[in-house]
Amino acid sequence: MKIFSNGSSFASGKYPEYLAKMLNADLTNIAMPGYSNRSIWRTTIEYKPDNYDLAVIQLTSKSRTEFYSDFGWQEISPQLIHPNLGDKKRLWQYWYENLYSDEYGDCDENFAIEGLRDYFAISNIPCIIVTTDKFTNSNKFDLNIFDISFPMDKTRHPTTIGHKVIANKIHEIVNSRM
Amino acid sequence: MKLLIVGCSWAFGDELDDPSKECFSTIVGNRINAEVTNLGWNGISNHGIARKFLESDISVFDLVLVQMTQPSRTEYYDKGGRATYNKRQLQKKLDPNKFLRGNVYRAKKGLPPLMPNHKDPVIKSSWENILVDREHFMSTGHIMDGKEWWIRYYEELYHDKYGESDEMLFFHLMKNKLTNMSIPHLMMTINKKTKMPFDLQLNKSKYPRAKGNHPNKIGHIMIARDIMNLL
Repeated sequence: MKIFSNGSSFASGKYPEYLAKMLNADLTNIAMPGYSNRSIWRTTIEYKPDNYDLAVIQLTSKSRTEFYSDFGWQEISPQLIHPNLGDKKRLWQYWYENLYSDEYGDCDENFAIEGLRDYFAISNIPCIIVTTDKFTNSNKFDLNIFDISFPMDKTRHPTTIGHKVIANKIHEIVNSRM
Repeated sequence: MKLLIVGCSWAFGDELDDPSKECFSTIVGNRINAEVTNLGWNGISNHGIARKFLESDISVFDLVLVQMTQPSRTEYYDKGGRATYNKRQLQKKLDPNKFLRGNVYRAKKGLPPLMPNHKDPVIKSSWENILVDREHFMSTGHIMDGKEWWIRYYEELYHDKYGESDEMLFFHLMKNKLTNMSIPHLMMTINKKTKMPFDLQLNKSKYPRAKGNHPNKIGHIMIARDIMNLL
């Protein structure tokens, strides 16, 4: 069995590995900390995963985005703590303070969900999409990770046990589907 | 039979005397005896086209024509209608006779003329199209350091790679959904530099144009003929 995984910092942690172990599967995980929903959607399509038995995608806060600069693709979130932002930081600060809205975030989140689901459906790959956006308005996710209780570290990411709890929950969903 | 078209001013039929009768989707609809729903919208971006596509119940359509546009365009949700207000004020300043020309069109349609003191539609939150082509399309009233934020966006943030990736993502989103739902469709574009495998390139010199560079009546007939050949 082969699993494809993508997502942001949560998926960059251990839960995809724990899940792969439970399913005795090989894992390809291209998740990166800081990824936005757009980055997760874009990098998945660019990777062209087509020979997998399961895809597990973790979407993130809908307010994050990305843009392309001399440094390549750069992740943007309202915290604006990213390296290499330089004088672009003020422009993004203005975006979040004056132009960004929940409606925009909801729209981009929906693009990523629909774009990913249909991509994997075309390839007949079962796809589970979870989110770490506590405040999502979408009912299209298979799981909101914050609906389950798991221990977190000081950076508000799952501890080792937390990742095992998340993997167990996703395993349950896989079993109910396959 | 039902036909849906999504796209920008090319799909809408901008610059035609009567877009609802003369645009290429209506001509195709007449030939295949289909009722046409035209969601073409002047100035809309690929982001907006994909948004309108997902907002539609596409399961009721037997044929969908997707016309994608220039990848540099974008949109944002203008909460409170600040951009609408600013663009309206600027357009009045740049083109004070616009409402008079509008009345020529209204007379053709048998509608009563607007009076100089007519009230503009109520300003409300809406999706706002942003186009790099002309300054008033970026005049949303969001001024940062004395300059409209969207002008700075194109000068300092936007990159062709971003537009290309937008086009790639929205192309796959709409095409994959239509394929999954087994709905016959055609993917078309007006982006001459596209790298995506569109079924039909509309931005070709063989289609005659009106003054504003949109296809004229004959151009629309020719596009409809080329679509029919692909169906």
